[in-house]
Amino acid sequence: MSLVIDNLHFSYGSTEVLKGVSSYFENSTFYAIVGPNGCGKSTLLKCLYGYLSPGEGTIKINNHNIMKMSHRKRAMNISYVAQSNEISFDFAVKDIVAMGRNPYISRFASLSDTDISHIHDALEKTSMTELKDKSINELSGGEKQRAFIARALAQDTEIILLDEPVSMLDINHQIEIMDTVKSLSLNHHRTIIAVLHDLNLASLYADCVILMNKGSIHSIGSSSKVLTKENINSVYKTEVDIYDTVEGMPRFIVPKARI
Amino acid sequence: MVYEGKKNFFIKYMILIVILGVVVIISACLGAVKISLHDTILIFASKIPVIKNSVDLSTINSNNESILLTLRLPRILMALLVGSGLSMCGAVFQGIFKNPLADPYILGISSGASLGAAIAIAAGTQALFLGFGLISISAFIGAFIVMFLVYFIAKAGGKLITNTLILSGVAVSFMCQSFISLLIIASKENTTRIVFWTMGSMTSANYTKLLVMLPIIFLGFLLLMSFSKDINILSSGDETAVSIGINVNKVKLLLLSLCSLITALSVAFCGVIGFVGLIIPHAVRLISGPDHKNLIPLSALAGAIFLISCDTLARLLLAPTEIPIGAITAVFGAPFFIYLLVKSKRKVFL
Repeated sequence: MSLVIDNLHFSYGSTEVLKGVSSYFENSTFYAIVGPNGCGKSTLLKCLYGYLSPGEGTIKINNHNIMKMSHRKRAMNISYVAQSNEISFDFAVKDIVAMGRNPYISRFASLSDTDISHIHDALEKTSMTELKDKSINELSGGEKQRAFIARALAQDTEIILLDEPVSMLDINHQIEIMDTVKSLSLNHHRTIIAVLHDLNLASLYADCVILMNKGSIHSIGSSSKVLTKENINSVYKTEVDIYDTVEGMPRFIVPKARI
Repeated sequence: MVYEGKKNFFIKYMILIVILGVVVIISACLGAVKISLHDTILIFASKIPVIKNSVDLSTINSNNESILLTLRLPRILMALLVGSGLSMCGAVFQGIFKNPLADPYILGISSGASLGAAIAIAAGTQALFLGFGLISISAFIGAFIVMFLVYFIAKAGGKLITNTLILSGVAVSFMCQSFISLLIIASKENTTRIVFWTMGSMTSANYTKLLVMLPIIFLGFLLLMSFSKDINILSSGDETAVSIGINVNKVKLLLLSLCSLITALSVAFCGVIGFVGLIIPHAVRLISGPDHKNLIPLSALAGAIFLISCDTLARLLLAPTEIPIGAITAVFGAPFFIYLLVKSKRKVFL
């Protein structure tokens, strides 16, 4: 699998949000996109799965331009977990996960044995099997998020995009979700591209951190290379202390209070 | 989308089909002239191709046959079609707008049709065109103009955004309502007719109108069913739907156009019949769950049963005066709806 974005531009009206973003994403790698509010992280993600059409530039998966793919074909390559998922009706967890098989099912067909085995597999990998018959609206925030990750997993795509997957969860559920996502890239060869606000989580889990600022990529690489005092100060306009544990291990970033 | 447990649905369909049959026959028996159950069944049987030769109508008053086949049956069939049409469209609108308060009139179609009808009534026309009253035609044109207006206002920014669509529907609807008020003031002698028309009635049902409604409701039903999976996914939001492979703009446009056509025809022929498209999908969701594969057909059946029952009451309650059917659907629908909500204790309402 190769995902290449080249010179991506996107504007909301006259406001240019992405200003020529280019990058290359490798297989089985966990990427964290970080950056201040409004820097274009979520817009980039939305361009990657085709919700927004870039004004200029290309996004190619295995050399195929995703904007020229059908919606179904694109959904067979990239799945997406939104920041908040409001489901108005009481669908059961298994039905939400089954929706991930949509790109593979023709209009009049029912789920095949392969589809069902993918659904069971996704529920298993996200530890949601026991909750499969529960209504999605009866679940806690963490369980809900795991159900949506299971849906992305049932979609059986090499690339999974997540937009701030743990922003509304407590520390226990944050780790639970991040562990689940990390295991997908480590053990199941998925490429994970997650927008994260928490720099420590990015440092703890990501193989590669992409620091964005004002619609462009400021720096890209390992967390020790990207999440430096200078970079963080320059992008977030915030002083931080950085604590390294052991060489090569994740570093911890603590902002300095201003009072 | 449900992949396990289809067991109980067959029974639910059968129960509703039997109730529908019973309601049709009871409704046909009742009216200013009472026709016995025996006669009603014989008259209906005499029109069924395979068994008609073995039915003996010699003992039956020919007036009863005529009342049943030319007056009551078209009304019952029209209530059946309009009830199913509005209910299945209500289910679809609620699904794609992710809003349990949505109904087929949310885009202002009913107001457009009412304005069209009010203009024709105020102009005093009684003319017919190809067998249809000019009031119906004018109502249909009004509904369609509003539909396009709302769509183009909502599409002005490039993307078809749900909230903009609903808001432009509300705005255009208010605009039409104010024109109707002006027409009522300007044409005082037609006030009652305009008000009655907007409250709905099955009195003008005839076989010509049924011939127009039947194929559209039937084909519309098949098309909506073929999109039931898409509607399930759309109820999770546009962003998610795109990521799961749905061409959101195209699917939404198709479904909205189809439901608007069904709604516009229903309103043009029978006036504004409120509440059906809102409460029936809710009530049915309590027994069918949220999956549109079952919600749409069960809503169609339940909507038909509900509207035929309401029309029968509209004919009987203050006979010989006929009550507008819209008043009946609201009077009986609202308490029933509240009862269902309280009884279910399930979170189905916001």
